[in-house]
Amino acid sequence: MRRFFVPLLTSRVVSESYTELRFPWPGDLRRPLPGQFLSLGVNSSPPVFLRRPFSLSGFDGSRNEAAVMVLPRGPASEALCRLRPGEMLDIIGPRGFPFPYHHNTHDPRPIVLVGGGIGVGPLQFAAQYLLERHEPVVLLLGFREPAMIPALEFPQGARVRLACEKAPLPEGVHLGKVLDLAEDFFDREEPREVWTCGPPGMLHRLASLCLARGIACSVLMEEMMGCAVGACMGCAVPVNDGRGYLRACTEGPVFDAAIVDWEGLWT
Amino acid sequence: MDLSVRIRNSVFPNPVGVASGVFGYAKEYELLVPLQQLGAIYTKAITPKPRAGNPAPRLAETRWGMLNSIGLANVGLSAFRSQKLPFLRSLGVPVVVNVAGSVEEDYAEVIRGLESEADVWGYEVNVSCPNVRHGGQSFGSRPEVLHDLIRLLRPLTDRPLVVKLSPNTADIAELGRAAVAAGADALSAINTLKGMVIDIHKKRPKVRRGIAGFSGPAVLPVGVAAVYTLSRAVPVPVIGLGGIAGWEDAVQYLLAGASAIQVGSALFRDPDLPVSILKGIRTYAEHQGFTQVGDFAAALKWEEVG
Repeated sequence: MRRFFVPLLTSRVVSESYTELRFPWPGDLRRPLPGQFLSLGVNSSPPVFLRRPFSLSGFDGSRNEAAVMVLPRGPASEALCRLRPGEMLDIIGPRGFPFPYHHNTHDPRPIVLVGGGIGVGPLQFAAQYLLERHEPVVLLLGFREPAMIPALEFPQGARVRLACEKAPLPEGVHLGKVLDLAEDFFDREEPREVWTCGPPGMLHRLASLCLARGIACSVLMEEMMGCAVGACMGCAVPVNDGRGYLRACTEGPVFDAAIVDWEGLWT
Repeated sequence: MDLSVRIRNSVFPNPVGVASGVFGYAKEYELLVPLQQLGAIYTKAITPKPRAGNPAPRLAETRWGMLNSIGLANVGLSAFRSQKLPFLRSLGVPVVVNVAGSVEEDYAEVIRGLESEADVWGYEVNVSCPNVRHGGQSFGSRPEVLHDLIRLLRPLTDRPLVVKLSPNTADIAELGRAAVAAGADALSAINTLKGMVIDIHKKRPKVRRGIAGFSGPAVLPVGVAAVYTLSRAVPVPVIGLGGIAGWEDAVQYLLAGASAIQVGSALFRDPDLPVSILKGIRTYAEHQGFTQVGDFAAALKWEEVG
C-alpha cells in the first residue's frame, strides 16, 4: 500500500449508471487482488472532505492497468465520472483482504459470484482472475432497472446469468431478483463457494441462503470509511464471533458471511 | 530557527503533531507518513479495559467536514503496553498517550499503568469526547469536576499533563483555568463539536447514535477562537487543533496563541499534511523573521475592541 498519483487513461460509460475508470498501475507496487480496494481523493465542487473507497473492478497484468467502477450518486462519484483522460487520480492502495482464493484444479465445482448493482465491479475482477487460473466460474448479476445492466465483456468461459427487477428486458434476462437466480442455481448444482457484493439487504438474504445450505460464502462489505488504513475505527462491521467489530478497511472488506452480525448492521 | 516547544520538563522537536483518534497507534500510517518527522504522536484514547466502540454506522460526511461516533474503541491498557507501545517507542518521536475513562479512577489507572514504561512523553487527558454516555465530556463540561479529576491525576506523574478541552461549553476559559489551577501543564483545544446529520430519505440520522463528533475544515474558526481565548486565560502552552487542512490554518492557530498544533481528520484526505504544514510554518517564519514558535503569538496585530 502507498499513495500514488497517476493520470486517468480512459473513462468508459458501461451502462446508464456505471462508469469504468482505467489508469496505470505503478510497476513497483504489488498487484491488486479481487476484493481489494483503493481510496481515492476527490476534488469536486462543492468540495467533499473524505476520500472514497472503490473496489477494484479489473487488473490487466500485461499492460499493468487497473480499473474501478463508479456509480454517480453524490458530488464525489459525479466528479470522478466527469474526469477526462490525462487528469490526475490521487490513490491510496491497494488495501484490504481479498476474496479467499485457494487454487484447486481438482475441484470441478464452480465458484459462484453473486452481484447486485454496483457490486458487479469487484466481481468482474474476480471472474477475470479466476478464469485466468482456469477455474470454473458462474456469474449471477442483478440490477434494478434495465438501463443499469452494464455492457461488460467477460472473458470466455464464465457462465453469466442476469436478473432485473423491471421490464422490458433483453432476451435471456430473468425478470426478478438475483437471489432467484442463486436459489435456482443451488437447486441444480453444488457451488464450491460463493463470493458476493451488493446492497446489504441482498447480502444478508444471500448469506442466509448459503448458511442454510452449508455453502461457504464471502461477502464484500462496502462501508463508509474515514482513514481507510485501519487507524480510525470508523468502518466498523459488527461480527458475532466475539470480536465485536472488525474494520472493513483492514480485516475486510471481504468477510466470512457466517460471522457478520446482520442484525447489528443498520440497513 | 528553533521550532521546538517546551512543556513542563519535556520538549517537542517541532510544533506539528497528529491528533488522537485519527492516527491509531501510528503503525497504521507507517507506509504513508514519515513518522520520524512528526513533532508528537497523540495515541488513540486508552481506557483501562478494551472497548469495542459504538454501533455502526459510525461516520458521515458533512459539508466540508465529517461526523464520527467511534466511542473510544481501543485495545485497552494491557494490550497497548504489550502490542502498541513498543512500535511507538521505536520511532523516537514524543508519544503522548490520550487517556480516557468512565470514572475518575479509570484515568488514574491508565496513567499509573504507564508510569513504569519508558518513552511515554506525556498524557493528554480526554475530558471532551462527545461520543460516550459516561465519562468523556461529562468531566470536561463542569470546572469543579474537571479540577477534581486533574488534582487526582497530578501527583501520579511528573510527565506533562495536557488537558484536551471541548468546544461544547459556554465558557472554555473557565474550564481551562480550572484545569491549570489543578496542575495541568498545557491545554489542547478543540475536541469535536456535537453534530447531527439526518438522511431525509430514510428519515433518520446517518450515524447510528444520532449525535456525533463534528470535525474537519468547517470547524477551523471554532478552534482558532477557542485557542485565542484560552491562550489569554492561562499561563501555560495551548495546543491548537480543529479543522487544520493546510499550513495556513496551522499558522492561524500559532498567531492566535497556540504553541503547537495537531493535525486531525484532514490527515485522512492528505497524509502528506504533517510534512507540508511543518515546511509551510518554517517558510512563513523565515519570511517574517521569526526565530521561535513564541514569535507567532507575539506578532498578532490586533487589540480587542468593545
